[in-house]
Amino acid sequence: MTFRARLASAFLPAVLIPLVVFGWGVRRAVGTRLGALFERRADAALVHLRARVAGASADLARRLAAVRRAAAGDLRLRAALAGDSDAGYVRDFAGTAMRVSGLASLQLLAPDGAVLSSGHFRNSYGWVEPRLASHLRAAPDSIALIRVRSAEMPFVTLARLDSLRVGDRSYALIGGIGVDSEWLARSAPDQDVTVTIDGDSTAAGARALTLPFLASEDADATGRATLVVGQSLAPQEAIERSVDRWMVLGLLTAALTGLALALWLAGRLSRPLADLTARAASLDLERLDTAFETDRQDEVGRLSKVLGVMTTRLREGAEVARRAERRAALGDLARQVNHDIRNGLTPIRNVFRHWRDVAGAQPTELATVFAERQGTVESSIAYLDALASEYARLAVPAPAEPCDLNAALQGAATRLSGDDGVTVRLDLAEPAPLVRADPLALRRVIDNLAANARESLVDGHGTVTLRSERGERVCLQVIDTGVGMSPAELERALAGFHSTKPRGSGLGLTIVRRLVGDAGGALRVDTAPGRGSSFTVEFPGLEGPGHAETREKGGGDGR
Amino acid sequence: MLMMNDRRSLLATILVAGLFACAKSTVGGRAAAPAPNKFPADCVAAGPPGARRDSIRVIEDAPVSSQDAPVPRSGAERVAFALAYETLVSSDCQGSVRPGVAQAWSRDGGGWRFVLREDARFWDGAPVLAADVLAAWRQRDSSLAARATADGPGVILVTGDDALDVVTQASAAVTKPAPDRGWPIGTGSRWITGGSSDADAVVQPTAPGAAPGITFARGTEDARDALESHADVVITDDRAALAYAGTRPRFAVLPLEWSTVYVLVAPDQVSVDRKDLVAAVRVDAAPAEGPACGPNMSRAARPSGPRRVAYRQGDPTAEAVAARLIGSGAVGRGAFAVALRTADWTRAVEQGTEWAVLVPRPAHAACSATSTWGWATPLIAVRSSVVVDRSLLPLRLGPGGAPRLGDPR
Repeated sequence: MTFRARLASAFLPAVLIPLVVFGWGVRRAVGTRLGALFERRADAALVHLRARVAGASADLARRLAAVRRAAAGDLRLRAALAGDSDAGYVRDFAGTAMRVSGLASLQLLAPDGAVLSSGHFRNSYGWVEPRLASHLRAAPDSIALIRVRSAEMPFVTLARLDSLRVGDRSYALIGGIGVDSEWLARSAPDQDVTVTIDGDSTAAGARALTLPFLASEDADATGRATLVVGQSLAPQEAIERSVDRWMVLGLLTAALTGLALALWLAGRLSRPLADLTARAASLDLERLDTAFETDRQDEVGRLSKVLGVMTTRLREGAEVARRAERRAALGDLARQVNHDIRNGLTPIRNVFRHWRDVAGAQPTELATVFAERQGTVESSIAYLDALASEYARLAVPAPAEPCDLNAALQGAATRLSGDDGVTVRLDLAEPAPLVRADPLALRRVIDNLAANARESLVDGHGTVTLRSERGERVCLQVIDTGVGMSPAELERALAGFHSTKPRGSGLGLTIVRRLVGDAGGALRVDTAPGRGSSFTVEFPGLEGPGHAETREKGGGDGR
Repeated sequence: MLMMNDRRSLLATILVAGLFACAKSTVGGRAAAPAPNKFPADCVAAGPPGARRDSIRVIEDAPVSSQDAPVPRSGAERVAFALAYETLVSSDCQGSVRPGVAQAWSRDGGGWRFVLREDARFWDGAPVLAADVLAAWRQRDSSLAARATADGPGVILVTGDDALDVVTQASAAVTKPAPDRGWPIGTGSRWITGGSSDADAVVQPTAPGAAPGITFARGTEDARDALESHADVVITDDRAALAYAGTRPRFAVLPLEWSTVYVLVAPDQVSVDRKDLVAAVRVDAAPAEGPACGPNMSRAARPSGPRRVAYRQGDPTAEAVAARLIGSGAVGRGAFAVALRTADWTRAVEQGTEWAVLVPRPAHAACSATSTWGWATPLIAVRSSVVVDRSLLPLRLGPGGAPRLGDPR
């Protein structure tokens, strides 16, 4: 995780958590205050409903008393009731009285409960409701909720009982006001409070007023009914939703602001570090001039100064190492020059030793021998001359050209033939294979390998075989019957400055490997202690139409 | 005192009924109607002759409307249209055939042959031709028109043995459309004007001075107010008003025929105390007669929900009958009545979208003649009565007992 991401992820909780706690606290406080307010309003609404029911009861009592007085003064009605006659007039009495008194229902019941006259349901005469009067009489204040029958849908009234006495008979006079949605709405103190019949009294903020209840159309439906004062929780929920909305909006705003601030701050902090990282990444041993100077006094400034000091130290150390490397390179060059010169001088020394021996033992043959070995001396001198030119050119490689490998091997065999104990064998492929190489480099390769082979022979006696081979690649092999090398000795010999010979420089194989590599070839070694060594150099072969011509031109180096 | 008035009312009603004692049956099937009225044998409501009137003021129970003419839908229209419109032949209260637009009629093979009066004229003076009669029938009664042919300009042939009865129906009146879409132009000796919302309908003679003009005016809600005003004639079906009229020596009560029967169409036959229903309504009613008729079609829509007895809104008699069916428990517990607007009520009658429906039907239509999706149980029959000032007597009684006000005595 980047420094910027860490800073942003740490910044957000630091901003959001306090805001969430604050919002939760505000919401809880609002809910508690609103809940208490609703409870108080419910209590007030219940008081209002009780007062309204009591007022309705008193109003009903007045109206029924007026109806009773009118009925008592209606002689035709009295006569009809007393004589059980004039049924039509009796039937219409309640309707007229109900309309005059403004009631929603009015019934005149015989002592046995039979409906004699019904204002709200004229044609229900004869229907017997035996429990209606007794139920109302037993109710507190003689008032109850009655679901009365009508020709159409039954409806609920808040009913009260009065009685009309004619002779020795008492007739129940039951009047009611309609408890419809309008009455219930007017029973609520305000629009946010509702009054329902048998609503959910367990709801939050609800209050209940229980009244006796009777369903006139159903004798079994007797009991109690509840007027429930409820209130809509919509205002409270709206406020809570508003708080929630604002809290979410605040959280989002804080999160976005915090994120932007964190990114800006992280950028301010990480930009110098990124700059230091880029400058440090550009350092290497060849380029140690990067500047870390700064005026900052903070942690970044101190880090920059430390890096500057480190760079200075590194620059000094690199200069020391460079000088040491230069000295080592000069030493290597000197040893290589020494080695190459020795390789060039050895045939000359052998020829002169031969000439000295012939001059002492067979002076007459000297001219002949001189003539025989003069070429070797000239060849070695030419070699040394070329070597000198090579070193003069130092690392500038000579152009490659087709070389006759068999001729090069034959020249090397000639140069080896001065040693008495050494048997040189040539095993050459025909036709002679050509390789593309620097002729001097090819001779140095073969001479180094031949010198190594001769010097590895035990007591200077043994066989050195020079072979050429052609196939997919052109190969030359130098095989000796010498002491051989262990794998460790071979590794050290290839690394340079290691020789199994008392006077060896240890550079022969190193030079060979470099020259072979320059010619595009490969060097393979097969050796083991006491079993001699076999060095194989593979060159890429020459192909194409100019093959024969170049082979003829390359034959000149086989001297 | 009130009891005394009621008793006097009852006695008066009996006395008036006695004036019309008649044993002859009326025309048409009356399977659901109660026993027919007993009109006087000579179809004359007798009384001491009064002075000739130049005008007669009638207080009606329902408006006399040009939209209905010439087929009456109320007692007032029955009286008014009987004066203003003619059929080929007419009948008196006993069903005896009298000349109308046709001066002669005779059997003609399987039908009847009617010869038009040569002096028959429309109100606009145009002569009445056989083609005019057929055109009127085609417009109003296509089945009758299909049975009729013209045999020259003055002769009409109508097939069928019942042709003589059919042409006496109000729907067979000879009329032609008015240019102003007002009252259809009839052929009688009286023509009718007015009848709009701001003018009373007036039946007056086409020849000036030939007969008194008769004004049909709307009364108040309580017909008794009309009896106490200066009305010459009050047409009403209100039982209380008729009882009150019986207490007034000035008036004679002439009942019209039982015109309407209220039928309950329900999924099952309903056992109901018809006399109890008669007591429940405020109109002059009598228990209907005859058994229930079974369904002859299936319901288009089966109702769901509670059992409801539907009636047409604005029909107080149907409302009272429905209320009594509910109040007496005749249609079971839990049922209730519902008033429907005319379109909904018509759909309920035709398709059976309500559990049961109350339908007023013409009394002369046998219940089996009407297709129903349920059992049609006749409940009560109702009628209007004409309360006339006795100074208008004597009066001839036309078809259905409709008095011919202002006719020469």
